[in-house]
Amino acid sequence: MIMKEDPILTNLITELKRGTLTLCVLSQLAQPQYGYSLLQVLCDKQIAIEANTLYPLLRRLEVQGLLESSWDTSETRPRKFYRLSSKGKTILGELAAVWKEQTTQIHTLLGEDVYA
Amino acid sequence: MHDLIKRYVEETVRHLPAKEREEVALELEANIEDMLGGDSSREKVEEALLALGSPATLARQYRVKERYLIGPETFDLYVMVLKIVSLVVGLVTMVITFVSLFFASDPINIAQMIAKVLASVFSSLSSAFLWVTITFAIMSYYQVKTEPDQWNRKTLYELEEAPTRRIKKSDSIGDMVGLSIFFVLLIVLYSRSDLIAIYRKGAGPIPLFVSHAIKPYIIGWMITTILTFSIAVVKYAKQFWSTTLFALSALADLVGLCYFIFLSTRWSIYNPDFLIFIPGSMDRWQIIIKAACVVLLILTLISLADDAYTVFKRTRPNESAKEPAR
Repeated sequence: MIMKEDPILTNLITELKRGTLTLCVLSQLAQPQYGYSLLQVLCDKQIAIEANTLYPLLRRLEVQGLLESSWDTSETRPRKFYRLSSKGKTILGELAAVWKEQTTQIHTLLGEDVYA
Repeated sequence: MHDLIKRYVEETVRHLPAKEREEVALELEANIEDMLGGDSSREKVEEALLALGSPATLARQYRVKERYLIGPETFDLYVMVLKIVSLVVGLVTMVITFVSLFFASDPINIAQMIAKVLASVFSSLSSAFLWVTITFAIMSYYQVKTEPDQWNRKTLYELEEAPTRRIKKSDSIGDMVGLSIFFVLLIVLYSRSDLIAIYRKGAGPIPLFVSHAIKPYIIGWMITTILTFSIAVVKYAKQFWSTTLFALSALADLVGLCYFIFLSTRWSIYNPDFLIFIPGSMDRWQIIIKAACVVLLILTLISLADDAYTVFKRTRPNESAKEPAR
């Protein structure tokens, strides 16, 4: 952040990101991933998400029925793998459409003045 | 596994519902181990756990719904009820403590008196706060709905348009305090009606009322007082006159008045020994009581007329204020 430690700005950024993180996570779960591997995938794609945000988010999405999970016990450590459920796929499609529409609109808005 | 990880995970899941603990713990442990990347040195573990944030914060993220003692939907109502209850309880306690101190057998100085009044007001306010809060916390826990979520054309036009129909808050609070004190007096009268008496030197007091005769009537009086009190609470909450509210308020006033007339003309409640002190005895006493009833009737009617004027005359809703027919 350029303006460091401004609490209002920090709060606004957190709010702005909150919804988009769900979209990011859902988009990467066509293939099964466990918590840490998903963190790596997102990190490689320049999406900054904290571990303490991601792990609880995965669980909440599972409770809401957007993700399915299964335990893989074949390796040394048991790991919980998540992937999109069919409901999750539908929701992801809808969310992505809304996102694209909104970014276009916001882009137009910001293009009108110097913030672009 | 490193002992620190185990402690961290245990502390985190402690804040979660029991049935989720085991699974979250397993998953979290595995994820933390992965974050270490095979290097389980103390430094690496410390770094990973510090980066995850405090167990309480992490556990809060795991919960789907925020938890409140009193939720944002009920908070406004909670504050309003708290205000009413504190005002009424505080003022009533103050008055009653003062009065009881005046009648106390051993004399006390002013400083002691003030201290006693403050102490009892403080303790009654604390319990008022406690009980209101507990009630609302329970309502929040069971998610009792306190606000109708209807919002349509009809409710839109029901919004109050006329500030002249405002009911003064101080009036409603005055009513509540007065009625509460009156209610306490009724309780005293119920248990010790012989306190109202002629006290003479060198002879026993002569009570005004026949104790067993007046008791049943006082219960009815308590009920009408509670009725009027509830109306005062509604007036405070609504803050505006409506036709229904006026009708209820007028009804309560009239019921109270009728009951008073009914009670005061039960001639058997008066002690004949007391009436000897009034020249002309029972006949004269009856005239005094009837006159008092008439005065009370006139006063009540004047106050009702005043309210009626406020409700019906002061505001002529203009055409735009009414919901247009479609």
